Amino acid sequence: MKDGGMKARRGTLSHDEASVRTMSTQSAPSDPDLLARLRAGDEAAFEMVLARHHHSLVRLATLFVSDAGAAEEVAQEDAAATDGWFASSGSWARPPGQWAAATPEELVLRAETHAALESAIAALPAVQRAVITMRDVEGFPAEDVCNVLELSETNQRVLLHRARTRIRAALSEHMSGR
Amino acid sequence: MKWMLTCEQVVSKTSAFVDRDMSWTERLRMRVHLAMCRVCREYVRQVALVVGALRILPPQLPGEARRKRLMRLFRTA
Repeated sequence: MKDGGMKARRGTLSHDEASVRTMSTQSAPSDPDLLARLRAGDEAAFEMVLARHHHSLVRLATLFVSDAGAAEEVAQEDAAATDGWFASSGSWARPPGQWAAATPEELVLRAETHAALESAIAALPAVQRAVITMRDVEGFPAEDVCNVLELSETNQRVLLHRARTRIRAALSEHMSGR
Repeated sequence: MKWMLTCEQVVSKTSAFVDRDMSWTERLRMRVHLAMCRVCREYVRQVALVVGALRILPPQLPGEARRKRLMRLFRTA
């Protein structure tokens, strides 16, 4: 197969990158062809490169994330997200307000809630953002996320929980008109 | 009663509950609390809504704004 040849020539690619490349390069012009067209200033070629490789670029960008960094994030803001929500008895001190939305579609289809959702993701600490993007938005299984981001299972779970907690809180603030 | 979860404990287990990533005994404890506590029920519902909404967000591939910015950069390069 064409891809096999490409992989062999690019001996420096890691196994993961190579498999991402293989998955995303199913048809259409080969990378060398695209490169030639890019050099010639072909916009359509640039668009194809974005579509084809954006994923692995995003993945590369998250490579600096390590479990040490994650552990730090886990330790740093322990319980900060739910500060002041509960009385010492463990019951609600500041109960959440009721949401009118009945389905996820209602949240996403309303432009302001969609925007609030996106900016809540953007405002997350780096590792939480990486975890929730991969798990919930892109739908990767926990195991893959642990592998790619080099997280322990526990830290992955904690970070996902934190991220969801924060996003819910951000949406709640947004809905109560703040 | 130690077996009963507090609201704070329910909140701390919400993500795992939504993912069905807990033992059936834990799940039962959650269900018992939720059956009795309207506030936690609403809280769990909201987290589930958020997770559902994230799942149907358009894919994070380039994203329109970023794609346009990149295209502009490409044109001027």
